[in-house]
Amino acid sequence: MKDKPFALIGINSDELEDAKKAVEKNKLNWRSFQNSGEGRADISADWFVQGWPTIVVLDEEGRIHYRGHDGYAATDIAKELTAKLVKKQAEQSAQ
Amino acid sequence: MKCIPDVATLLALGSLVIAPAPAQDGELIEKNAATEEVAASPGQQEFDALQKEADEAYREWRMAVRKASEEEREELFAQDPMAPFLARFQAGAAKYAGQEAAVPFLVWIVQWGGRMEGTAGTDSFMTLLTTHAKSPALAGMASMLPDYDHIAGEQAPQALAAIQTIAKENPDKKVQGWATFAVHQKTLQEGELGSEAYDQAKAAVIAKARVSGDDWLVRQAKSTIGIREQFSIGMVAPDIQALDLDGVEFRLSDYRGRVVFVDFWGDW
Repeated sequence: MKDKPFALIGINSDELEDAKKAVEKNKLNWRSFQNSGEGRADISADWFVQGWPTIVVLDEEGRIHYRGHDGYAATDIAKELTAKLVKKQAEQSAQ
Repeated sequence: MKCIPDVATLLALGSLVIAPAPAQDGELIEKNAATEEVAASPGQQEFDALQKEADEAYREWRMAVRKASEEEREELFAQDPMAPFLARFQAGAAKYAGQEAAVPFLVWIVQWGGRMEGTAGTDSFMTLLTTHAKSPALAGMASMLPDYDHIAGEQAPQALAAIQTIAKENPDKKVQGWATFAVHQKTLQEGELGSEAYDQAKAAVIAKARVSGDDWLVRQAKSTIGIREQFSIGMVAPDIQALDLDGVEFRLSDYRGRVVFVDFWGDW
């Protein structure tokens, strides 16, 4: 999915040091937010996350297309949305 | 347990971590006046002794898992340390059938027996909902009420009808709260926003949760309502402004123009 208009963002709810170690150990190459920092809101609370993993898939305008716990279903939806967006962008640049 | 998704499998994970585990509720219930009253009864004493034994067996099993080699661990996971106790709790429930003293035995069976083969969990659940609708000791399994369709299976419609009665007639505020939430849950999840049905369900659930004395219920109710009102399909997700793991500030809205897969994860 490199070069495609797609981004994978993690929200990590571990302690910062643990999160960094986990990213290193698993060679994750995607960007992660700290769930909460000093004086900052707790993202998982703002997003009403009750179980992990929770996945939300957004389109290019930030609209929600999936929210749930099923990684496969979320991946399919994200792929489909990305393919549509690529097609739309190709059509626009052709005009 | 590892729950780290990697990009290759994109969360091909079967495990879902829910916190706190509702099944542990029984250990957390505050003893209310009604359960104190029966504390001295022979039924309660029998239950307490049996539960102590079961808890001990569970602790030993967990210690064994902790010390075990990988191979032994697999073997241990294949066992259910609570299975040998099921028949004894069932015997307690049968001995005091129809009486208040049966309730703690039945609650235990719903909490633990539901994972075992057979219908013990479902049967005990239905008995509690129908025969013991007015028992304040239902508080021990109150947080399981919203899961009634899963627990009751084919008997879900009867379970729902019984829970509607419990919401009105059970004297315990925590039980009333969870029962009310269970009754209105589907309307909160799927009802049309702004409709009379949705607004009524929301008002009823909030009012009952507030006086339930149970923070977990308040969180569950707020979360269900929040997801419906701010995170339904088609809505624009609220922006996030936070630090990445290197301490660099960034926003979710920086990614407009791209499809974004937001993954709440952790390393357990």
